[in-house]
Amino acid sequence: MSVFRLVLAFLMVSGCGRWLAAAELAARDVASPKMAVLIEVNRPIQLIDNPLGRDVWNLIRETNGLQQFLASPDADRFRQAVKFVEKSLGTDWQTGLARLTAGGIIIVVEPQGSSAEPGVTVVLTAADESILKQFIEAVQAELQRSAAAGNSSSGNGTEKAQKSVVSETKTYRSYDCHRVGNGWFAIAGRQLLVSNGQPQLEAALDRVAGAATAQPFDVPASLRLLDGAGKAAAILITANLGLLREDPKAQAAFKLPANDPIPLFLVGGYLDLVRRAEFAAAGLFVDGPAHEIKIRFPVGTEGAYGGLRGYFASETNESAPRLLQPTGAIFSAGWFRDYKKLWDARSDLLNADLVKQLEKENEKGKSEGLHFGISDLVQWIGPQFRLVAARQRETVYQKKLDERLPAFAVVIGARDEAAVRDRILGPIEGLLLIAAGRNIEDFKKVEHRGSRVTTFRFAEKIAEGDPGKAVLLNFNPAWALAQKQIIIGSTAEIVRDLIDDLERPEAAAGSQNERATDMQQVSLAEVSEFLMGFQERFVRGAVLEQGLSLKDAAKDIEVVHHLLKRLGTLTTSNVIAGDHFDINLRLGPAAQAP
Amino acid sequence: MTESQSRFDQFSPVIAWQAFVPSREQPWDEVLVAHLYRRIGFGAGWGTIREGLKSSPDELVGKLLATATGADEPDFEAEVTALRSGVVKDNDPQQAKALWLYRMLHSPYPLRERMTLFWHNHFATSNAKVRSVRLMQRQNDTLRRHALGRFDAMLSEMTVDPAMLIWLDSASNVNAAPNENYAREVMELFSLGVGHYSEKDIQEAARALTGWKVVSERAVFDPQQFDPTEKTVFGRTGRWTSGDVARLCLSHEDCARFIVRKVFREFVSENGNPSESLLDPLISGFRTRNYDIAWLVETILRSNIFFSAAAIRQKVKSPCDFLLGTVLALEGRPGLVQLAQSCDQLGQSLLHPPSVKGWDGGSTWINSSTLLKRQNMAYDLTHGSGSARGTDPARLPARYGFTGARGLAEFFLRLFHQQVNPAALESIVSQLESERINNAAVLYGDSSSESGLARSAAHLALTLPEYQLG
Amino acid sequence: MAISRRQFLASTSVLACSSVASGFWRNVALAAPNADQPGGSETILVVIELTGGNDGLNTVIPFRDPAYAAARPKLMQAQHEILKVNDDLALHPALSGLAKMLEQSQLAILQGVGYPNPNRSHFVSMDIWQTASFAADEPYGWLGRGVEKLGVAVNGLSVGAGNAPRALTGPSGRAISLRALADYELKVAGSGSNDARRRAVEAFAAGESRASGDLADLVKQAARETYRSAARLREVAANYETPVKYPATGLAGRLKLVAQLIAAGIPERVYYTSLGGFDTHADQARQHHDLLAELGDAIAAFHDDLKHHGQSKRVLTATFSEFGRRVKENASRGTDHGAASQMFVVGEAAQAGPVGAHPSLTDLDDGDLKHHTDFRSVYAAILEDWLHIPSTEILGGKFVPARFLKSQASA
Repeated sequence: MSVFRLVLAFLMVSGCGRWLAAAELAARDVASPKMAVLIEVNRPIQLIDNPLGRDVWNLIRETNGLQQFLASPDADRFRQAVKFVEKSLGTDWQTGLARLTAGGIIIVVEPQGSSAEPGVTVVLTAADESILKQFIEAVQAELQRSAAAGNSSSGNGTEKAQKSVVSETKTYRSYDCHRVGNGWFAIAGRQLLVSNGQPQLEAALDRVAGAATAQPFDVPASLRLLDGAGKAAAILITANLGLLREDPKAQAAFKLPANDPIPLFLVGGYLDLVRRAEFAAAGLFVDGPAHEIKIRFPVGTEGAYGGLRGYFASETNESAPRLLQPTGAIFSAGWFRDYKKLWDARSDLLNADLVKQLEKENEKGKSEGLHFGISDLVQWIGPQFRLVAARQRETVYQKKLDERLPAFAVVIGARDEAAVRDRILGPIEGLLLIAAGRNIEDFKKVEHRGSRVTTFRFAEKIAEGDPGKAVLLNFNPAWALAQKQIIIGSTAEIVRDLIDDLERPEAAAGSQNERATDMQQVSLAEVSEFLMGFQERFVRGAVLEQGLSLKDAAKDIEVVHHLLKRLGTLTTSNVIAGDHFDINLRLGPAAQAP
Repeated sequence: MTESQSRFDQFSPVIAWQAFVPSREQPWDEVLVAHLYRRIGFGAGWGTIREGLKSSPDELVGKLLATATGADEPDFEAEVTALRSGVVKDNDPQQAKALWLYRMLHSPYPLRERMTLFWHNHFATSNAKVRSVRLMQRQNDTLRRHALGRFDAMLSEMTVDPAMLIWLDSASNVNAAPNENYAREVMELFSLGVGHYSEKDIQEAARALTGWKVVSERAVFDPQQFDPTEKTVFGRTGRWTSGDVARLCLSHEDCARFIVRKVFREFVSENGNPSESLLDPLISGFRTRNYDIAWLVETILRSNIFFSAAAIRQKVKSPCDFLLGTVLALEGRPGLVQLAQSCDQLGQSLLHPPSVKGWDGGSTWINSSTLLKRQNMAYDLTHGSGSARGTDPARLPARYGFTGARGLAEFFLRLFHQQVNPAALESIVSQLESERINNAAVLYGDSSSESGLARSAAHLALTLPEYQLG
Repeated sequence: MAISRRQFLASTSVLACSSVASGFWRNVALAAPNADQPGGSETILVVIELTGGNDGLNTVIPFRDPAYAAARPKLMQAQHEILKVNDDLALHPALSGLAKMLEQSQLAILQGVGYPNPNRSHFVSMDIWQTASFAADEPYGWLGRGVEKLGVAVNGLSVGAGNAPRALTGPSGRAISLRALADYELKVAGSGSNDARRRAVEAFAAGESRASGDLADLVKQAARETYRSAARLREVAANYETPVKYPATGLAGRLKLVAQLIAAGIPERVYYTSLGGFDTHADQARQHHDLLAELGDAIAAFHDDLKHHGQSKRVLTATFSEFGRRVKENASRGTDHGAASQMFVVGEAAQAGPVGAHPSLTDLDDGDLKHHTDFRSVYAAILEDWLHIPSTEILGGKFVPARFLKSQASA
């Protein structure tokens, strides 16, 4: 018995010797500091087979468009691929694919200089060796067969004969390397290694054999993204920003003090992050019925460019404001931006000429017209801003438009309410009355929950002469000051709704480490309701442009509505901490409270 | 004497217009049924033709006519109205064309649509100058209302149609400078033909037509601008008004002849010139029945000459005939805006005729440029991917029980031509066989290969030159 | 019956396959002539038809004549804008292209061209100009007839959308009309069987068909011509280069196509294109201006391009319109159909400047200008002294050739 065990052990060791000595490649084994992108697909089958995907598929399966697509030659490629997988693996395609990619897929792209193609290396880990071998043999047979067929049918000379495939086989460290087209592949255990360059393949095989000279490369730990429950991403992409910074156009964009004020004020803070981070990572997570994407830069408020301190929220100042959700809200956004701090740091942020120009504008503003300049404005307003779009429900006009635009509103934090009321809103009201004259009517101030709402509407007859002006009947502008916020809206209805919403308590600022700095939310269900107003146009388009019957067109539009409702809400929230900046996107039902 | 001439001469004027009864020499077969559907509408699919064979010619023509002249089909009209208001509001000419094609394809009364198109060509008015989809639609409705009604009513209404007035620069036709151009077109193109009037008649008639103008998209008569003095037209003197001009033209002996010749050309043949004596029964009948268009069309459609070699495939398919006929044969649902564009490219831009003369038609539809385009459109309609998904021929043969390379070739040749040319059949079959061998190399499973072959067979069958004849 | 005028095909007999191939294809099969042998290379005529009735009085303006201002209070062209030709005549301000040609001594202005008993119907008058005949059902045009009468291949190519004009139509059928070279691709699909399928399609046109009669033959003929010329034309477009910047107008595009074909050595003698929109009954000013600008700029670019390719000695461009317009403007700021008008002849071979006096603005024929040069004299000059074909039989009579070519002056 012991002899038998000894023999068994020996056999195991020798027979699996190669397997034991050979390491299975992980991402760190193929990555390198010079790489451009690293893509890790941890559970490929999950990308196709997940609750959101299944629901979406079930809905669109009924549409005319998809039925026609499936019947047409365009879908042939997919059908052939599916049939090929099923035939070669002997099972249905979901099982086959799951077994073939059970251990995940790793892709690394590494630039080889400006003249050559970038090197791409792919490592596919199957459930076991046998299924991988079966698949590869089937692929090789198929390539041989189609090359032979291509050669025979190209007798007329205008088609190039297909390149003969699998033309070379070499052995490297006792692994067979095959050339296919201009790429190479090899099988090591249950892993398939593919690359478009022989050196990369050999380097990978070195590592498998344990004979690699280079060290494995680890990206910063904070970039190994996990979701809230600690699960790994379904697909994780790590990008090397250093390469981006080498591009001269990008360098011009990163330069501080800047030469162009507009990109600076719009996206300056983000550019600063990209400038400082070596790598960034993006991960896709499947979270029950929803999907989430998290993008992380491993740099945050620490080490930010001094002048840009006002750009993002931080522990020393407030964070992004709570999103407002008036009735019928389609889109709601809120962000933090301290323009006062940015203005104070203007000589750090902009070149000398621009600074002089801005200061001149500032002086001009103070002395002429409304008698305030940029420096005053940034003192009075900010640093929290919100933008809301919502469906209009009522209208103040007699004539009801069929296709109505949504109502919009901006809500701006007011540091100095009195100044805003007396120095900005008051004079503007005066000017408006003079300039618009007969075109506006019913200019009034109403009380709503203790705040005064100023509103007017356009003269109803404005659209009579010129049908192009009919769009003005979507608007009856209004503004108000409430809860230290300036609300300016395209309709009085939305302004009233927002005053109501502002009464709700503000949420806590978030943890000490992480501060939300900007957020957006799109309610796809409300978008769907909004689009109902345009139904006639969609139906007409479907009938006249796509050739559907009226019934089918109506059915397809129903499907779109259900689809949007199922997708629920798209929420984005960006948070910043001392050492990282995250962009979180979520698509799915039940909006997350920021 | 040309061949076409001799075909006409086979018929005495009496026999020519008698109702057709099938005989051994001229049996009731798919050639005749397809011919009827092509002329009375724009074409038909395989199933419809099989159905048609089951009735006698008399019954079938009667059935198709009854629907055309009967009351509106409410469901269909409701659908079209719903689409139309949006098109008019957007003032989009491309959608207006697409809407008319929708009518032509799906109307339960294709004859009425064909006649509307005929009258649109006759009273040719182009939106290029009118620039108002609303006015063009109203004109189109007027034409449709009278399409199979009475020509005298149509002529009087069209003489003061707002779109027509704008088109012929009569949006302000004033006493001081009467619009001779307008009077000329009313006589030369709408009622009498060239040369049956004098320049004096035109000048006098122009004065009778004064006073009309277009205000806010309506035709309005302004007595201040009207010339109330006496005018002499065709030798008759009186204080003629615009209504009288139409009446005077109609009473002219050449009016009936002019119209009958046009209708003959539309429904019987574009090849050759029928003699006066052949057309006489129609001309006198049309006149005595007060220009009843429905009678004229019905007589022609039931006649011996219509169901004979003198008429079958003796017209060149207009772009509408070609495109709609192909779509109907393929039982497809193409994108209509794109179909309208194809029609434009082939030289027939609906609602935008090139001049007040309309489209000449006949052999002028075919030149090197348009013929190549037709061949390319045949490919575009049958290749099955992208925008052609609506007209994919892949499922048709199997639906009617035809399989295999020979079966596919035969099906499509019979579908499009009703007669199988043996040389063409062999050529298509061999082409399909070689394609099958090529496809088998890359495809899995036979069903997609069969679909691909069906598409090739349909394309090839459509490129036979004789397909351009309708 | 006047209608048959429009139904040309009804009255022509159809010839057998072999001679039915249009002159275009026949010419394409010939070798290209050697362009730098002036004796050996044939002359080319480019005809631009101005469709609708061009207002000659506002095109070449007798600005000093007080009757002009009196007749055209709203439509007269401002003195400081017109382009002076000499002390009495000027070009419309939009014709700077033609003014440039005049400076290069390449523009002849033939005045007072028309015919007796002017007909003011567009269709009738255009037919008269195109067939050079007053017969009601004349099927052939003045350029196409050359084949019938003399067996000379004066075959032409029409450039533009739509069919070739009657002028080019002869017994061998209609001339080919060409819109753009890119149109000439036959679409076929197939995995590896492209050419086989194309050959199958082309073979259908060659075989026997069941449909018989004039129309069937017409279609097959058209199909054959189409496929053959498609192949040849694809070669032509491949490597054309020019430094001349053509304006982005329709006419300029068409003339560029003509230049490409000439430079490629395709031995057509006549190219024909048209520019439409001249029927300006109302609000003439803007439309006429734009059309004339398109005309002048396109011609100037075209001749520039020809010069660059060394073809300018061979090519003569002539414009005509079916009639002029009335002297007195109408109540809608436009003009109505008239009679006599002028023709432009452009090219190195043309004399420079006006030919013949401007018709009187006071001695009128029922409100219209009187012609002094029969258009058939102009045709005679073109046929005899440019294309070198005897004109008497073609024009149905002897017309003394009008004198506007440099070669006529020395003869």
